[in-house]
Amino acid sequence: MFIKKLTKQVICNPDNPLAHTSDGVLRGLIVDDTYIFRGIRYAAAKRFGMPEPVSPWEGVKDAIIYGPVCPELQTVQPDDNYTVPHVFYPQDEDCQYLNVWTQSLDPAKKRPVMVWLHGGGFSTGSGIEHFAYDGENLSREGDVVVVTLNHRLNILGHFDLSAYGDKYRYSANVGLADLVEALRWVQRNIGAFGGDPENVTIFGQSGGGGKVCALLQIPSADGLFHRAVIQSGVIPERPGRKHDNSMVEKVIDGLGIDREHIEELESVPYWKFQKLIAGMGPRAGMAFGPCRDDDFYMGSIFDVGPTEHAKTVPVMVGNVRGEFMQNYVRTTDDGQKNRWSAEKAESIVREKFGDAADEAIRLMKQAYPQYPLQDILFTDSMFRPGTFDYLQARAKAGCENTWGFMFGMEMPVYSGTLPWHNAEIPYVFRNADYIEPSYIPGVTEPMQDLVSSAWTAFAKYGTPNEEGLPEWKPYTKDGHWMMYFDREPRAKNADAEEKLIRFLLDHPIEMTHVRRQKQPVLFGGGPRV
Amino acid sequence: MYIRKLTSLVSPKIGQAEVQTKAGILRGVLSDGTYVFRGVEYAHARRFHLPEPPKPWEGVKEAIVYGNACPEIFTCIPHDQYTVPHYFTVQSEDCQYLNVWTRHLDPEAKKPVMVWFHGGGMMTGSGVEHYAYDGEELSKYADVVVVTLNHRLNVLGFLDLSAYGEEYRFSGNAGTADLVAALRWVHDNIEAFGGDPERVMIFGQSGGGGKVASMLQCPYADGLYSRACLQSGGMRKGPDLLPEQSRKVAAYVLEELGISPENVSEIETVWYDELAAAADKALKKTAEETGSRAFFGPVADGDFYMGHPFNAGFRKESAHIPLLVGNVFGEFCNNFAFPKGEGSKNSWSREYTEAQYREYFGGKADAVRETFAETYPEKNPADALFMDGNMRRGVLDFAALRCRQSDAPVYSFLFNLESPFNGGTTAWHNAEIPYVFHNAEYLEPSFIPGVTEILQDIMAGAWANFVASGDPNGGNVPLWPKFSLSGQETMVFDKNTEVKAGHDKKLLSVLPVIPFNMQTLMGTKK
Repeated sequence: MFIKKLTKQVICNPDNPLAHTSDGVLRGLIVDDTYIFRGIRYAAAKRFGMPEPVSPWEGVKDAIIYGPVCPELQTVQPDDNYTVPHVFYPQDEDCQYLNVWTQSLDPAKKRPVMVWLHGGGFSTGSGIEHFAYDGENLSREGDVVVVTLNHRLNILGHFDLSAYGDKYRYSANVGLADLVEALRWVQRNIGAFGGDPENVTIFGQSGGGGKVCALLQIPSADGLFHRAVIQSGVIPERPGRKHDNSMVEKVIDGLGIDREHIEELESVPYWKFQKLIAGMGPRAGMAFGPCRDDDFYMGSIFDVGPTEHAKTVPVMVGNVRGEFMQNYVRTTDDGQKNRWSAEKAESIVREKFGDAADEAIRLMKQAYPQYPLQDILFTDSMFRPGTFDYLQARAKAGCENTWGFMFGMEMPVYSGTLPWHNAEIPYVFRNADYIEPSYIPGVTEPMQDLVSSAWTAFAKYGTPNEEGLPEWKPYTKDGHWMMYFDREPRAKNADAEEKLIRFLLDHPIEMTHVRRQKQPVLFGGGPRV
Repeated sequence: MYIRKLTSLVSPKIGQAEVQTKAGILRGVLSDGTYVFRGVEYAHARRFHLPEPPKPWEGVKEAIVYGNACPEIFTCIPHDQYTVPHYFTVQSEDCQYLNVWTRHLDPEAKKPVMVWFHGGGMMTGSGVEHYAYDGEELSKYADVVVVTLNHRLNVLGFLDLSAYGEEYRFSGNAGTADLVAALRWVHDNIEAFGGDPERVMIFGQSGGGGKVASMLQCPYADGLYSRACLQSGGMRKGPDLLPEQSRKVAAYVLEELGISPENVSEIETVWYDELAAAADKALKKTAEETGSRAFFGPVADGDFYMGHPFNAGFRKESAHIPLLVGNVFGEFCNNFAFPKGEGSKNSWSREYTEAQYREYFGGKADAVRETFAETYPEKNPADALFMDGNMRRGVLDFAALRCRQSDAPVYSFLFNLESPFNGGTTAWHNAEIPYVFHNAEYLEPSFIPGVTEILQDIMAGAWANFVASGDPNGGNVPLWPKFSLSGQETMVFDKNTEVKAGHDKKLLSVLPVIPFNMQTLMGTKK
């Protein structure tokens, strides 16, 4: 997050602190005893081409400010900019930069490494896009090396031109290839930051969880990481879409590019893509993602099962209770769910579920006796089924190294809001006491200790169990265990909850008040090429 | 800045932090005793038209996230991103938003109001573009109401289409008109936020200082503010942008876009990137043709904007406004922006410093050495290589002109505190802002334990005193006499803050102007 009330002089001198990477020397900062390196270049690439490692340099390079982020087709004021405070940053196609937080620069320290993959589908976001992504507190309290990074997205990362020549063979997946290149950088260099290249955890949320799913199925990433965490990142139909090139053809036609001179796409000013996509509807910019090519990317676990390598990697997978269905985004009546009487709540639930109301009430009480009945209206069924599907796909393949979780804690906004998509991130990063809509005095502190400790235990040992944490068993064929994080965390059998979720998936309900995404507006603008 | 370690519950509650404005009810958040309202719409405008007041609404509108910033011709990571941490928000032409921090929602509280105009020339920036612009600490420390705002800039704010019809009469000053609209909103609404509409200060830095100067020279802003403060901006000498040139730029923009004068209204719907690219070319073309600098900024049309005081004199209608004016020691000449020599200046040997003196000051090296030691005996002689002379001369001339043309008080300052960054860096352009906003403890390169806390109390206190009474004196502020032509009294903010009179007169007379290329600072287009 960069900005916090300081208590010690920040050190940034010509000779201190220096990290000696295999490519050259970097100068960073010491902030409150944590070493921070911002904006380290890990690769470079031509548009649509595979990334290349960085060239070595002489002398000392500064790594004190974040690197540019990948241009986005549509940067809008997000409707969750309050609940999920965003950092927007200058965009540039030259965007392969990462950031490191660590407690030591001694290669002998061999601390676990946690590499964060940001969300925003495969289309938007960056390694610093949420204030919550700042790695300082996670590194300090968890005694780990934290890495966050930027890479190519949208058209720049996933634009399948393979039909137009071998040089574009991987253009549908170069955004993921950047991630592989970043993991190679970690292998070569993280020792210089006190990290252990033999113990790398990749973790990500939403699109970042999707990236984790994808990396588990990418042979060239085998061995570059050793544990994986998927947070709110499983939607069964992506990644691994069918080979559908209709958007590619629409873009080529829309720009009036002659297919004989497809290389002209390499020098089209980026804003022309933005303008074209803006004319295709508000969500058109999110249409780009990885494509299964059975070469670079083997396809999703749901299509081909886990790869042999993926089976050996311990995985944590889970999501949050409200996601996009929570009551800040969509609500009904007066919008004050926690002020409703039990009678009122039941009558609203009955109205919404109609003939299925009895079953809804029964399933809710079995799954979540600790929550008020009305919470059923705001319980996610978009990401949650994917979590179950993923756990079961691994269990079916015989894996006994998969842990499931649900983050259920209510947030304080408007006196009680189910956790939104992204709500667990500040807790994982131990930044929840910095984020207005997340912070509950006296509750947040122990809660983020608990959640973050489980993540760092997983990074250290490959199991989220450590003294002081509730016992958390893996989800297997025979034991459907799930950790429910809340003020009173508990691990238990998840079957009752799964029944509720499958029911909700089959019984969508309408809400009267929905916060709508504002009309897309563009960030930056101006000639970029 | 939005993000800070919290100690109390902040998230919004129904029935809390709600304010009735002229247009409707707003709900903000309450953060540890400070009410914060973000993204309040103060106007809306069609492209190239004057702003109009916000449309009234029913019910309660949330004011909990910042509003859009004006699109920039080109946004890149600035050279000073480390020394001046920037916050970039979403850009949209729908950008007339302001933010309010206050300790009271009682109309009887009548606290002084400080309205901040952001820098970035007239081209870039926003009311939240620096983390240092966050108003919470200043509001809390000095019990004032703080307002920051976004408005139209660059081609959107200053394209003079007046030659193409009455409806575009003020398009060359649309960005300035937004500022007036914001001050009008403050005048009409700030009482409900515990503010005193009779005690409003406009203050700004760099381009923001220029905006403050433009308000003094804008008849439409009269009566909307009662103090003014210019920090490192607004006192540069140079010709005004006259209609002759601003209309030429507009003609070239239309030509680039292939829009004929009869169809001028088509320019209102051109995709912004195309407009920006055309604007960029039009400026270059105009500069080549006229042989002088072409830029976007207020147009001295003799109607909306009367021209800079150096050219047009101070308007008598705003001659009663007390002024606070000053700048910082290093500005763009600081050793991070333009390093000279090798390594940290503070570890140079006397011989090495001398060699640098010879290289950069040539025949004037002896004179600079001698006068610098007299002026700043406590400083490292190497600092003379990283000292700004231009802006400081502008401050002195501006203050002097004001003294000649107005009886209202003028106070001047110079911010000299060195940062420990990089082994010692002279105060850069923007370095005083975190101190004025009482945010210097939050910024890595600004914070010096034991020094920062004291100095930001003095500076934030002085600014707040000034807005309260028109005089910065009081509390822990060292005695600060008015600036006079004979004395050149200047408050020098440093580890030891004190007033000095004419202390650098001699030094400025011998210090050569070291040329530098501004373009290398601004970043280049790719």
